[in-house]
This record gives sequence, structure tokens and C-alpha cells, in this order.
Amino acid sequence: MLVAGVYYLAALPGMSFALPQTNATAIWAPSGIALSALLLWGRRLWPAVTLGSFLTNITVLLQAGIGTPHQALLASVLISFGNTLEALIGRFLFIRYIGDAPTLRRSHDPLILALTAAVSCTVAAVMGVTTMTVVGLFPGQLAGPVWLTWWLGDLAGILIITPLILAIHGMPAFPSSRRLLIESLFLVTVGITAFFLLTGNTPHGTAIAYLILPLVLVPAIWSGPSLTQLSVALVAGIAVYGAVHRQGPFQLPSVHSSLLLAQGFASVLALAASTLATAIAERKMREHALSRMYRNLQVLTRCNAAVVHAKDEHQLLQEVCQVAVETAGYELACVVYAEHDEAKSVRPIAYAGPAERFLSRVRVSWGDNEYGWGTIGTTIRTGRPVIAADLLQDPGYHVWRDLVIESGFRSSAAVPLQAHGTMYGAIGFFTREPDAFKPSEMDLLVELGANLAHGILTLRTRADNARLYEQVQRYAAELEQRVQQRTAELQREVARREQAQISLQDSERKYRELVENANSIILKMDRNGCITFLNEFGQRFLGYTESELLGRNVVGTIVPRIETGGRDLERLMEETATHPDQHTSNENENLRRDGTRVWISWTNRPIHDREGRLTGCLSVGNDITALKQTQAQLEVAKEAAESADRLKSAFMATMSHELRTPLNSIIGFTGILLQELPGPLNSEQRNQLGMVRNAARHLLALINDVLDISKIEAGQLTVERVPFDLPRTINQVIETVMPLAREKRLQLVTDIAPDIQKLDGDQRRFEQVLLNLLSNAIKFTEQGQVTLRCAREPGWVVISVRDTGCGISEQDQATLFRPFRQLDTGLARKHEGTGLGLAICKRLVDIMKGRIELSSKVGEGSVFTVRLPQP
Amino acid sequence: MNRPILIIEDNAQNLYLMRYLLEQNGFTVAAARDGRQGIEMACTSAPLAILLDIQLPLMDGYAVARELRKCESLNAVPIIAVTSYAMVGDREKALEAGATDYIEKPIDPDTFVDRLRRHFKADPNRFAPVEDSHAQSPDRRRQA
Repeated sequence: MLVAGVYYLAALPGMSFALPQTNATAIWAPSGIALSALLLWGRRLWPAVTLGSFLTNITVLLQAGIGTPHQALLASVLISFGNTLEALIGRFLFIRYIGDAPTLRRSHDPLILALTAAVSCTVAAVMGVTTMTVVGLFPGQLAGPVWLTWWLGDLAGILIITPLILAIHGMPAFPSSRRLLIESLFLVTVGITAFFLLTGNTPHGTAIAYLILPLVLVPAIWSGPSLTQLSVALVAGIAVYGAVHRQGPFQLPSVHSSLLLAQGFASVLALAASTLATAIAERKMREHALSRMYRNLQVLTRCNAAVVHAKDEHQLLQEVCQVAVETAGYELACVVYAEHDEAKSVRPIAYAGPAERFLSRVRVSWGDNEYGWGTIGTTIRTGRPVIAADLLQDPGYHVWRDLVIESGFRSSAAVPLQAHGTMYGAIGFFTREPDAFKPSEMDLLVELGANLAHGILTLRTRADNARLYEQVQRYAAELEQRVQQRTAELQREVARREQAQISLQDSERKYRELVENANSIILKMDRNGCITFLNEFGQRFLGYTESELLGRNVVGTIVPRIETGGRDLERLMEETATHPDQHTSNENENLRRDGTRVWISWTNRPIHDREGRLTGCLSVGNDITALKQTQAQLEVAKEAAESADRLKSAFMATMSHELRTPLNSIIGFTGILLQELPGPLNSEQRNQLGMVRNAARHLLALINDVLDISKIEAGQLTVERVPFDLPRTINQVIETVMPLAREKRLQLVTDIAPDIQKLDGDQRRFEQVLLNLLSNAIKFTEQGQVTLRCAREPGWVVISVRDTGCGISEQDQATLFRPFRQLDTGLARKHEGTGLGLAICKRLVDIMKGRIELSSKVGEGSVFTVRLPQP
Repeated sequence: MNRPILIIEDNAQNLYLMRYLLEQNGFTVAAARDGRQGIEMACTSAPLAILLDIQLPLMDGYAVARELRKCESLNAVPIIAVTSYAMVGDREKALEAGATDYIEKPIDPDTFVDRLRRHFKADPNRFAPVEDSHAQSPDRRRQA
């Protein structure tokens, strides 16, 4: 509707200058508007063109009163179709020959536009003129000039208006106010100049009109197509105004012709200016692109150099950003790394430019969220270069729109930092101009990114390598040290082994000699009892060679199955072979090769292999045949001795009994006679009977002592250990011997210490010992005294009997306690006694675990001391 | 009438010796020549004391002593073993069998009667138990 409205309004001024009786006009801006509209907003807009054209024509035709309303309606419909067709064809041709973009970039584009417009305008003009003629709105002879006017009008419209609209459309949305002011001033200048030149009545004709040309060309060179097209449009408008008002250089007889002339001038001017402006713009753009390319290449080169020479990753990144800003002229360049955290955040590593304006104030992610739809996030996410041609329009920057406006950044691009499949992050670039990143530039930036990523990789690898190298060095050193250490160890080990080898050999030799020369049988057998080794001595002893025995069972060869005594040796051998540890020593009969049986004492030891399994038995044997024989003889002897002993005991008992019976009669009757019971005796008889009685008593004492000593020596005499009253026992014995002492007029002194109480022991045997010692003392003392002392010593009770008798020589002291050793044996036996008394005393004291000692000097007397244990 | 001292002794000389000695000291003596006769007589004659030889025919002295000790009427009668067995344990065997005292042969006429008399001198019935059974041992060694 808007387009239709504009179309209609734009058409009205032109229509006022239409040819009389026609609607063909030399001024037909709507053709340019229609084409521009379809180019800018698509061909779907054609109904608007149709509607606008229809309204315009019907209005003009009805106002002008040309033909009937029916004719006007029909003509308007057909003409509007023609105009629509013109616009559609024009658009088709534009796209076909100029390009999709609704802009005139190349220098020849305006010319192509003129050519295509010529074609499309032909369509409209033919359509229009034919319609008018057919409908009968004007006579056929007018068709030629009307057609020309129509065609020219449309053409001029396209040539002037379309580039203008396209140029204005391509202008920055927000041009700086300064530029706006300058351009406005210029337009005013152009307008005034054109007014003077094109409406002033000068005598110079149309030539003066062309003076405007340089002025129109100025913006083509200085500014750009938009201002140029505006100037052209302005000039064209003024020219038409001049022509219509019959002022200025375009003065022909008819207004229509003048208009055609002005129109032609404007068209040529438009074409020329447009072409020039486009060409210059193109050149400028190319120059710009080239310089940009150059700078980018420079950036790439410098960055590559930086990559190659970089020692430090951060420094490299910083340097690259610096180069990008300083050399390539980007406003801001930054390197970010992709963090592999949950938020997939992006970490700025290095930058150059006013980062604080934007970069440091935004949160960027490389995830697929609103913070990740910017160039950087998208690049990291997709791994592809991304351009945001206009940050204000870009939906990806919607979230940062305020910041974008504040920062003044208009476009951005980001390229991935990716090498060998590793995504490090991205480099982002921001500029203050929109659409700053061209494909060729992007290629370079992508390469830059790749190189930088490679640089990062190299640096990291180098760092890794350095670390690895260091590690390798360390390992090498360590290895070296270990090798030395191990070598030393090995040398020691070798030395040790050599030593061990030598000692092993020594030991082996020693043992071999030992085994070979041993005077023992050394035999090894396996678990089955089969012989695996027999030393030389064994072979000699048993009468076999080793080869005759190896592998053969011991039973049946060197061991008889059944021992002479009936023992089952086969079983014993089997048990020994399988359980040597339970048969560590055997004594058994063995068999020599010649059949003789020998007794051998074997010592057995189990043999184990490395795993500890029993493999056999090592036996060392010694010939004990002689020993066995001796043993057997001893057994017999012992038997004999024991039987002799028994006989002796029986003999002693019998002897004792048999001797006592006659002695009973002798002593008894002698006693009765001496008591003079049967009758009185004379002195001679008494004397002689006394001698008989003494002899008999001596005989009895002898019998008793022999009996005692034989009992002692046979070990039959035992002592009791019962507490008895020691002082009382001593006094009893003193009492017993008192008559003897008195008889010899000897003094008998007793000295018992007051602490002597009880003694543990055998009272009878103690009495026997004491009686014997006192009797002896009295017996061998002729004058003086006998003293008995009893006292305590630690652990002992000491009883001593001292006499003042003849004393005992040292020589005799040695043998005194032996049986049958009465002193003075060489002399006539002055003293009675069996000679067994002291021997019996000694033995009794020994049995009582006491000690008996003698201290004596010949002629001075003796002291017998008995010590009995008493705790 | 005096109660007799019963002597059980097979050896005629020994019997004669003891009978003579005792009779000379005023005792009445009854004699048996073997163990059985001795037991019989002991039970019938109510002896003052019994002198018992050990080596006897038919039945030895130990067995006789054991038999005699079975007879209640003889409970208070001292039985004195008079024997030539002087080996270790002989004395103990005799006392164990029931003898009151033990006198080794050969007997000493000087001490025999006194020794015997000790067994009944403190008693109104002229016998009493022996207190000192070891008394003979020192005596016997007087000449040693």
C-alpha cells in the first residue's frame, strides 16, 4: 500500500507534464520507484506497483477527460499491467546481469542498469502506447512521439531514481552528524548552482547546462554514490522545473520537447554520474579491500613470525592481538580459551584494544545458550569462522545490545584456535564499522587462527618436550647411576660368587674326601628304599661294588628280610625310607655279600628337594657287631653278677644266722658259767672262761661289722630322716661308754652347746657312729681325757671327739677310713677291734650326707670331727 | 603258782640255755618245740611272756606271732622274738608280725634277764610294754 501510495504521489507531478491528450510524460519517477521497491523488497510487491500505476493512470485519464470512463478504465488496467511488467522485467534483468544484492557496486553496473532499463521500458512504452491507440484515446499518427516520450520518461525515471534509492538504502543507518551536515550543505550548493544554471535565461543555450556536470561529479569522487545520486536527482528535478517553466537552457518550442531535452540531459547526467560514482566507489572499495588485505597479510605475516619466534604462550597471544589492532586496524582483538567446565565458559587470555568497553564486561560461553550465540562462542562451539556483520542487528548479540551500542562496535568476527583436533578457543575481532569482514579477509583470519593454534600447540609441545627432555635427562642420569650401582653390585656379586664357588669347591672336596675316606658307611636311598649312593668304605665293608648295588633295594641286598632275632626288617626299611625323620637311628642286622651278618648302627636323615619334598634318606652307619657281642657278654656277666649278688646276700644271711647259733651257745653258756650259776669257779677257770667269752664276742662283732659293711657296699643300707633329740642321744651313748672310761681312769668330758636341740636323721646310725668314735678314743688313750663337743655351724651340726692318746701318723691318716686297717697292725694287737669301725663310720656319715675328718699328731692325740647337715 | 614264761624254740641247746638262765633267776618256764605246739600251749598256759624263735619247723616265728596276736587272751602278753636273723628288716618284720621286742642271738646272759624283766617289772602282773626298743643296739657294740 505504501509503495502504491508513493508510486501514486510520485507520478502526479510527472503527469502534469504529460503530452496533450495522452498520459505519456517525460517525467516518470515511478518506474524507478517500482524497480527499486521490487529489488529491495522482492517481486511479491508487484500488486502494489499495479495498483499504484492503475490509480495514477485512471486519475490522470479521468481528470484530463481523455476518452470515456470505460476507455480510461480499460486503458488504466492495461497500462498498469505494462508498468508492472516493466518493473518485473527490470528486476529480472537486474538480478540476472548485476546481481542479487540491490546495489550497484561494479563500475559497469549503471550502464547495465541503463541497458536493462531500456529493454524494460520498451515493454512498458509499447504496452502503454498500444493500449491508448487501441482503446482509441489518441490517433495512431501520434503513436511514434508518444512512445518515445513514454520510453524516455520511464528510462529517465529508472536511471535517476533507482540508483538514488539503492544508494540511500545502502547508506549507513546512522551516519555521523558531521557528514550529514557537510553533505546537506553540498546538496544546497548543488541545488543553488543548478537553479542558476538551469533556470537562468542565459544566451549560451544548453551548453551552459553541462557546467553542472563537474559539481555533480564531485560527490562521486569525494563522497559516494548516494550523494551523487541525490545531486543528480536534484539537478534533474531543477532541469525539469526549468523546462516546464520555460526557463533555463532547455528551451524548445513545446514544453514537451523541452522536457524531453531536460530529461535526456538528466538521464545522461545520471548515467554518467552514476557510472563514475560507482566506478570510483568500486575502486575505493577495492583499494580499501586491498589495503585491508595487505594489512591482513601483514598481520598474518607478523603473527606467523610471532608464532615462529614465540617463547611464551601468553606473550605470543598478546603480541598477535597487538598486531591485529595496530596493523590490521581492528578496534579490538582478543584471544580466549574455552574452559571445559560445566558452564562451558570462555576465559579471555590476551587482548589489545579497549577491552574494558566490551570484552571485560560480558560473560561469554561457548555453550549453546544466549551467552554463546556471539561470534566467539559460536566459533568455539562450531569450529568454524563466524561473522556478525552488524552487531546491532545480530540476534546473537541481543543479550549485550546495550553494551554494543555503548561500545560503538558494529561488526565482529571470530575464528577458531584449533590444531590437530584440539579446540583451544578463538580469536575475536571487533570493528566500529558494520560488515567489516570480507570473505577474503576471513580466509586470512582463519589461517591466522590456525597458525596461532599451531603456535600454541608447538609451544606447549615444546614445553612438554622441554619437560620431557629434562625428564629424559634425569632418567638418563638416574639410569647411569643405577647402571653404575648395579655394575658395582654385580662386581661384588661376581666376587662373592667366585668366593662362593671356591668355598663350594673346597667344601665339596672336603666333603667328598670325608665321604670317601670316612670310616663309616654312608648310604643314600630313595623313597622306595633303592640305593642311590654308597661310599667306598661301605662298599668295602659290605663287599659290594657301587654298581652292583645302585638302584637295588636295600632289602634283599644289604639288609636281610628277617633279623636273626625275628624282627621284620623289610617293614623297618620301608618305614625308614618313607619316614626317615621318625627313624633317625636304627640298629639292625645287615648282610654282607658273603652272607655274614653284621650289626650296624644307622643314623638317618631325610633328603628334600628344593620344593621341600622328601626324596630319600641319607644314612650313616657304623659297625657295632663287636659292640653287640660285648653287650651280649656283658648282659650275661651282669646276669651272673646279679645272681652272684643274690647268692652273696643269701649267703650272708645264712652265714650270719648259722654263725650266731653256735655263738649263742658259746657266749650264753660262758656267761652262765661266769655268773657261777651252775657252781663256783676257781680263778684260773674264771680267767680262761673270760678269754673264751671275749673271743666269742670279738667274733660276733666281726660278724656284725662284716654284715654292716657288706650291706653298705651293696647299697642295702638306708638311713632314716626323722627328728630326734640330739643331747639326749649323746648322753645315752656317753652313759654306755662311761664304764669303759672309768675302767681306764680317763676323764670323759661332754660339752653340748645350748642351742643344740633336734637333729633330722637316723638315730640308730648316729649312735653307732658316735659309739664307735668314743669307744676308739677311750680304747687308744692311756691317760688324760676324752672330750665330746657338739656345736652348730651355719648349715651343719658339728660333733667332735678329742682324745689325748697316741695320735695317728699322717701316713696312716690316709688309709684310716678303709676297711680292715687297724693301726699298729705290725705290733702285737694290743687293742681289740675288727678294723672295720671307722670304715663303717665313714660310710654311714657319707650316707647321711655328712663329712668326717681327722686331725691328729702322733703322741699328742686325735680329733675326729663329724659334720652333719642341718639347715 | 607262778605263770610260766613260754619259750618256743626248736634248738635244744638254745632252749636249754634260756630255760636254765630263767629258772636260775626264779622264773617258771614252759617250752614248745614248734610253732603249733607253741600256739596251743600259749592259749592254755596263760604265760607271763613268750620267747619266740623265728626259724621254726612247720611254721615260722612270724606266722606264730600273727596267730598268737589273734588270741584275745594273749593281748597283754609280751612276745619277745629271740632270733639269729640279724639282717636288715628282720627286726621290723618281727615287730610287724606282733612281737613286743626283738633280741638278737647270741644272747648275753649278763643282760638277758634284765632286758626281759623290763617288760613286766612296772606292772602289778609283772609285765609292761617296752619303751626303749633300741636299747640292745649299743649293748651289742660295747666291744666294737
